[in-house]
Amino acid sequence: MRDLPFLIAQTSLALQARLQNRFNFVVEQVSNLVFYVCATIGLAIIVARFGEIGGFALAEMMLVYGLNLVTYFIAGTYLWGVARTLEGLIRSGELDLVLARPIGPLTLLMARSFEPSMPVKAVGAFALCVYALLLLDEGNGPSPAIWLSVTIVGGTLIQGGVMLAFASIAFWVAGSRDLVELMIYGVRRTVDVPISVYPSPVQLVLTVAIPYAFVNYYPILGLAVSIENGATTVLASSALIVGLVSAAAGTALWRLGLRRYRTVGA
Amino acid sequence: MTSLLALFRIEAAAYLADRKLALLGAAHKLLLAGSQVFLWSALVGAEGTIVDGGHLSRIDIVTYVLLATALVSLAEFSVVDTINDRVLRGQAAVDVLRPPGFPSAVLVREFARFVVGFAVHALPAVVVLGALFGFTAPGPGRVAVAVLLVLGGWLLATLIGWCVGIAALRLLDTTQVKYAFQGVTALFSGALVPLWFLPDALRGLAEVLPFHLLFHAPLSVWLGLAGWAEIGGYFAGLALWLCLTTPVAVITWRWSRAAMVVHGG
Repeated sequence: MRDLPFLIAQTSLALQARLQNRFNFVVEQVSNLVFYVCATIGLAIIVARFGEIGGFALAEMMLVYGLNLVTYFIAGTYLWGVARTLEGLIRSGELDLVLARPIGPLTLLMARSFEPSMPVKAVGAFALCVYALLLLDEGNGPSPAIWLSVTIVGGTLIQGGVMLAFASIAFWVAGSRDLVELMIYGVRRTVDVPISVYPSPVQLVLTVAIPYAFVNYYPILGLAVSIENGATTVLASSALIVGLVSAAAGTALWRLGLRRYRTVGA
Repeated sequence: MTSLLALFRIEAAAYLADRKLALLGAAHKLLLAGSQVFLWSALVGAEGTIVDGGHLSRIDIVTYVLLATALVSLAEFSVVDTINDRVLRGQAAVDVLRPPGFPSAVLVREFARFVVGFAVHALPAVVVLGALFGFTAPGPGRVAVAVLLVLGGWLLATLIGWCVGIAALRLLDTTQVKYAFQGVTALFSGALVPLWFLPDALRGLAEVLPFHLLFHAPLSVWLGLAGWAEIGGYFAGLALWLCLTTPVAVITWRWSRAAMVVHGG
């Protein structure tokens, strides 16, 4: 917490630097918007043609997609850069310089990795979630505002925990960046659709080993689908707890890796 | 020609040099293709569905998504990144001085990556998942036509990407525009949703745009859902779009090269 003013100051500087070329920044945001609008239209076309995907209708599908995106964008604002660059920093020895600074290494790397386009995209994905919730209009369920806030916090912790955990592999394995990309661009995208379309072993992996299913599927079950048994109720309401556990596991792995880190200069 | 072949060989070898990377790339493709297979199998069901008056079985849709995932690099416009990277590092000026010339060097590099990427990353996923979930294999005539359409589609996509990428010599960075192209291409090419499932208005628009020639055309031919008249239409469309994009690519190159000469690379 004592490093927070530093993080805010660095974020402000990074934003100013990025906005030096405003035209480029605006083009980037418009381009991203076109990309995600096209993807959402594609999803809506599939639902319109087949009625539902894995038991989820249009509004639920928008929530599934929107929640996966918004939580990834929020977590990725600071952590995606860390996950992608850590291996290079270790290989080049630059991590030694980071460790020599008086600021916590994770805070410093997060500040260096701030990606301004991520929060912009998060706003778009959040709007998609709100629109989907308005379409759902579940009278008897939990308060949509509270549900959305808790789900986003829980999901962001899960996404951040997974990013940090896989980034930390760089302390043990060379070439871990490709593994991080496989996780984020590959495994994470499997929950762009409800996990109910996958066979049980895949569902189990996405629930227990890499708990991406708690980012969207189980919370939406709790909100929109009639809950049939106690196990589903527990799963639906435990996104926040799973998020806290994931974040703690990611942080623990990071600390373990950092303690293990040895170079000529360290 | 010798220098182009050497460039192809070097690029392919560089791509294959990191075996761990190649293995992870194959795993990534397997994961993406597998998730698409489960999704579309669940949607279409065991009985299949009707499209354009023809029957699309579960195995047909599995074949479609496997090949679409295998060919997804057609919709990624990686040439934009390649050009921007070489401009940013100042290597573009060196490429201009080399015997093959900058445009030929870029085209050969991209083709090497496309071919090797398909063979190393995509083909294992198609073989493994095809063996597990079924795969529609057409006759040699249709395979040959589909391959020709894919190669034409690759050239078209590369020329479109070239026009965006080469503008980096004037605008410094054009990588971000690529995402808009990726989104539009994914929607209107059949990479994201097969065009048979698009509403009429969007389908009409897709058939006017060039992107349907990248995925819909070759995959319709592969699955036997395109008659010879339609195949003729695909080749005519491809020829027309290549005739339109080639002069634009040449003009963009001349416009950008002038900036490189003035600024010294």
